[in-house]
Amino acid sequence: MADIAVGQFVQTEEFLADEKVVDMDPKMRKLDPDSTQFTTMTQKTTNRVATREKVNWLEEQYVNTVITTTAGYTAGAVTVVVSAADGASVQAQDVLRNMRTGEAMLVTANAAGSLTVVPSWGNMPAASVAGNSGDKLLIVGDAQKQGADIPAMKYSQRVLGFNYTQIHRTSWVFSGTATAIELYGGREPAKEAARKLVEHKRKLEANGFYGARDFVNVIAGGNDDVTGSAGGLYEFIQTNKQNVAGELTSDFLDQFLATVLAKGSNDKVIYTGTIGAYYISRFNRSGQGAFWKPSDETVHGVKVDGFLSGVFGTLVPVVVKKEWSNYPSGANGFNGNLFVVDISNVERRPLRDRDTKLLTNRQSPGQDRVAAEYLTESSWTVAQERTHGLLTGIA
Amino acid sequence: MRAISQYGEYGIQIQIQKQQGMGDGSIRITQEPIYAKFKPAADAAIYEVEIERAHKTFAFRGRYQHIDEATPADILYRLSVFDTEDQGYDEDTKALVEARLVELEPLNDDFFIATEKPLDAPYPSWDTSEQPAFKLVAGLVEMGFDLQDALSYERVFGPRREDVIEALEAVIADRAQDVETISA
Repeated sequence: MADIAVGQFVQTEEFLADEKVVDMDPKMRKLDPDSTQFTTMTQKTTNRVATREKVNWLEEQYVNTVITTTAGYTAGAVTVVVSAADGASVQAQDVLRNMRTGEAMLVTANAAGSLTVVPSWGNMPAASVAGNSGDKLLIVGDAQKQGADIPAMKYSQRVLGFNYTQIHRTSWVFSGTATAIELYGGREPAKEAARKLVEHKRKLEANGFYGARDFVNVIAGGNDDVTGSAGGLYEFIQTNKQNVAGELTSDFLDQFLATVLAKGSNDKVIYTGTIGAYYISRFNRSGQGAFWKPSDETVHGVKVDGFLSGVFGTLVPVVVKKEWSNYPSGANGFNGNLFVVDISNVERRPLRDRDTKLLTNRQSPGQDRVAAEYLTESSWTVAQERTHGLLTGIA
Repeated sequence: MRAISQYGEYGIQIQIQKQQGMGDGSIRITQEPIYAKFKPAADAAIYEVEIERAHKTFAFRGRYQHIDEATPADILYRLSVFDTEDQGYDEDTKALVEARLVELEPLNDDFFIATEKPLDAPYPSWDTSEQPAFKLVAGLVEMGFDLQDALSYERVFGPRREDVIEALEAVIADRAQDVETISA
């Protein structure tokens, strides 16, 4: 034992370090709160069990009724040329009307898009008008002859959308001793299990937005080398994608929304990074109109951050993805992304008996450890991709 | 300049709209916006060489299949095109838009600038020749070139010299008249 020290008074550094009781706040402070709104929203709305590792959906559309001339034609011309693809939508006895000139015409024959027509059909306008390359023609309908045979069928071929299930696993392993000791904020592994649940949900959320569709079977790799990967919205949105390349203005956003909102249901939700949210909320203050209505209302079981007054008078709920602020913004940063999602055309597809579950006792027999994991095998159906939209490059 | 995108309704904001609130709900635009709105393949011509390059350049993520679960759907419907010559820009605006497209092209795989000419010049020095228009066209006639191809090239992909276009049109029109006279 050390000699007794003699002094005038005792200050804090005289105590042994382990003698002092630590003033530790038992509440764990989190950098990013749990925010997996997309996964939660799809769980509450459209959540259908998958029965195999590949999910399919059929997509169809009605026969095209707007065609485009690929060459100009003179006034009174009896031949109008459209592309062969457009020509497939036209049959003899169809009535067309040029949307620019107003002239109607009756089709009498169609040879791979080279249409033989009777110009000035309906005598409106009285004199035929020349057409330009790129003129839009509306297929108004058909005017069949009396007593004619049944017309040939126009068939718009269906296509197959598909995706694969992906196995997500989030594990934790502690030694038996580590689980037995007292810790501030609670004992392990319960504390870590709570954190891992949030991390697991965030993996599923990121997969919903940015997952890559693939299925790889390495033949030489034996039975253990098969990997499925589920594609997310980023993978499937292939029509309505625009590059803001800088500041997001109300005019650009409105033009974009006019395209996206014109297709699909009114059940659209915007998910935006913090940069997009910054510009939208700034519209009100920078003379760009009162587009933004902050709110704490709940939509499909998720608290949304506000509503955007979009074109067509639609109020579109907006969810700000605060965790995307960890990503860069600008040309290729995902924090500069803004998704418009038609919720009615998105489904979460957990594989049968493989939806998120906690699996305990995952350690090998004989190991003095405690191991557990969360496991989910799921996919996404992202149908009718033209009903969704993606803005990139908001900076 | 022609740019081809792998997204059907692709667009790029070239210049933002600047506006001032007037206090009565209306606005005064102080800077007109410039948006490069690509036209879907259904509404505009995309040439074979451009489609070929699109096949090699783009990943075409999320592609559909036909009912046989094997044949991928044709990519043509997914392509779009933006041609700075078709926008009615003045020279300054055209230069601004083209410079921005060149700047943005390498940053992602959304689009590429088409450098291939779908039609070849009649001969290598055609674009830079300083011969008078009538001599150029006379040379083509003498050597037996297809004048319609030469006209299409000059109008769309060549230097767009008005006097050369007029000379070619005149010769083509004369030839058509000759054919009609003979057949009559």
